[in-house]
Amino acid sequence: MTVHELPPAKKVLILTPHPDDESFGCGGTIALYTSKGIEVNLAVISSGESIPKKFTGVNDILKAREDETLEASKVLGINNVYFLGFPDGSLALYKDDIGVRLSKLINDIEADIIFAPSPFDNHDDHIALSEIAIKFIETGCAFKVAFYEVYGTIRFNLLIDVSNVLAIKESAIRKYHYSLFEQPELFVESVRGLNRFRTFHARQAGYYEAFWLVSGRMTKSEIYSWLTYGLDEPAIKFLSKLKAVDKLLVEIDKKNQILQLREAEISEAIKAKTKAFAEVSELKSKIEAMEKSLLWRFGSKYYAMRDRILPEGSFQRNIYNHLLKCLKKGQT
Amino acid sequence: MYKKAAIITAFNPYHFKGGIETYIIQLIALLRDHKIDVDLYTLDLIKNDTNLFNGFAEKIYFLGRKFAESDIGYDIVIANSFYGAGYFPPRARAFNIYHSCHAAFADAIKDVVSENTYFELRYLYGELLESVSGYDRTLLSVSENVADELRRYYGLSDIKVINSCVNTNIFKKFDKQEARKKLFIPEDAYVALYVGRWDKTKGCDIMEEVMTSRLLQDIYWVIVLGTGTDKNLLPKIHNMRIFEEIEHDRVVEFYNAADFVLFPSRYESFGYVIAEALACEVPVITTNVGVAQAIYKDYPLKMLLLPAVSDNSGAIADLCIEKILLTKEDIELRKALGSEGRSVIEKNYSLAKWHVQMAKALGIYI
Repeated sequence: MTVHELPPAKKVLILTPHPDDESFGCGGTIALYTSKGIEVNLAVISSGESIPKKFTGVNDILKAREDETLEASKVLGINNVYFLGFPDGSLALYKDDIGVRLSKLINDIEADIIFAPSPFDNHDDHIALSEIAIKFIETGCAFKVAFYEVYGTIRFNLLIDVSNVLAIKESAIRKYHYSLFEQPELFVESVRGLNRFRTFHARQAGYYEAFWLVSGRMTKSEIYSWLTYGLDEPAIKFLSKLKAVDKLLVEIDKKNQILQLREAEISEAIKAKTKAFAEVSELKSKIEAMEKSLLWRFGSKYYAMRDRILPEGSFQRNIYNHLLKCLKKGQT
Repeated sequence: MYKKAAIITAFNPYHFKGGIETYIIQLIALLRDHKIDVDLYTLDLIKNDTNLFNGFAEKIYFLGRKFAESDIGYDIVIANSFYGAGYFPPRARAFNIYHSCHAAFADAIKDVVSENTYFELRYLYGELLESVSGYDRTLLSVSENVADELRRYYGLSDIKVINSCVNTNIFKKFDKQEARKKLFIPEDAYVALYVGRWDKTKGCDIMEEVMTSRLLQDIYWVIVLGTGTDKNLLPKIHNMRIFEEIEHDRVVEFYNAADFVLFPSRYESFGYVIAEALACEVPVITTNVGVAQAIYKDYPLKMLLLPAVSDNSGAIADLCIEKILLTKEDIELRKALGSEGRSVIEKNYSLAKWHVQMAKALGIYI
């Protein structure tokens, strides 16, 4: 598997079900984008208020997690953070509302690419958010969607080397002190392991974030089929063949149209050439007519006649030369 | 015994009545005769989306996916050609009735369509949709030549041929003058009939050459245009009448008003026009396509056979004129051709015969 360049984008939107997931799944990629001056926005769908108090030492866990998000975002260089405030643990109940809010946000931001958790991330909120992203793909969207890994690995087609920004990513994770049950270092280790695991595919030492990047329209079953290596869906494979032939036919049609255009141009050029050729022939025939005229014939025979009538060195020739000289002087 | 069947086809046969729709109605009647409930799955169940550039192919595929959601309730499913191709592979007992072979069709009309149309017919509808539709299904074909093409082009095997049929109770001879009166066609004219779409695949270029021939100026042309044809494409001649949007069952009136039918098509899978006109005892001058390949083997019908259209459509037009003049001059020959045609159709292409063969093929025993 080749290690890839960052997908080109002018504006990026990261969807995170809870504070901290964005840093786990794509903290390195965010840091790479922002280091290039690319605008990165973060939509925090729920602020993660459901963590029981016994795990943290704070009274207002919602505020604490939002504060941590802002701090981690600062570390990663994120430009804007949007807290959508949907209830932690119940995102599946609000998929339509979240979809509407996100559609508006994506339009306002004019994001070229959005990042979302994968549909196989073993957490109800992650899956719900992933399904919203899948809906965007199903209905056809102008932006690309990249699914990231948090709880488990997925089939991927994009591998980003985050080795050079790993320290930034880890520093961002460490900002989530309360979110991570006051043990952020434990999670730093886990995520480091996840990113290190991808050397298996990169075949070179380093740390990598893996994504499944979708840049065209797909049906839900095509999406699941791709992620599961299409093991039991011949109809989906058939559809992909159909799409390939369909696309080829469109390409052939386009090329044929270009060909017709070129043929028309060539035909015009041949017409112009024929016309020019006719004009040249006409001019040539005029010259030929001139050559046949009395004056032309006299002119062309003048010197031969002169030498015969006025032989060189004769008296008459000397007078002729003298007169000619005088005439020329008179002219000047 | 089956209790419930699904038929996957293009259009609702009760809303739109072309040749294939008539076939589907016959099929529904057969199943219901055997106390089998029938549900129809048609393209109008699928909304066009943008999964494919080709919206029709997309509907064809997704109709099958739609059916896959509810196939559990059916004992058998009968698909018409590639409609519902996305039902792949089938889980219910499935039959596929091939009404044509698009790859062969593409080759037959290659010279008169754009390269893109050719590729679309040959590869998208043919090699892909039509060929895949045959996978793991019992294959039925409407004629021997379609079965042969399916073998040659897609390598399909075990194809059972059940010739399409003509309802000889509807398509039969009745009084010519009555028919002409009803349609306001001159009663004393020598009437030529053309039934079908007006495009080059059907040989409209040949029709034009024939219709404008100086040798045939006294012939009255009746044109029954197929759906989706622009009548302005027809040659402007004075002795012609054009009829549009004629329901399939009403075409019998036109056959009966005609002295002969001209059918210079470049490709037919079965060619209902040939069989129906013959059932009405009207001579048909036809190219060697579809059912003509089987019935025009012997005289006297062989006299009306034109070769398959090659590049030289001018030669075919000359042959048409020759055969038209031949039948025009000889009323006894016309009668003999008509009665031979009827007899062949009654013997080999009757609805009753089709019923028995189809019931056997579907595993419905009487």
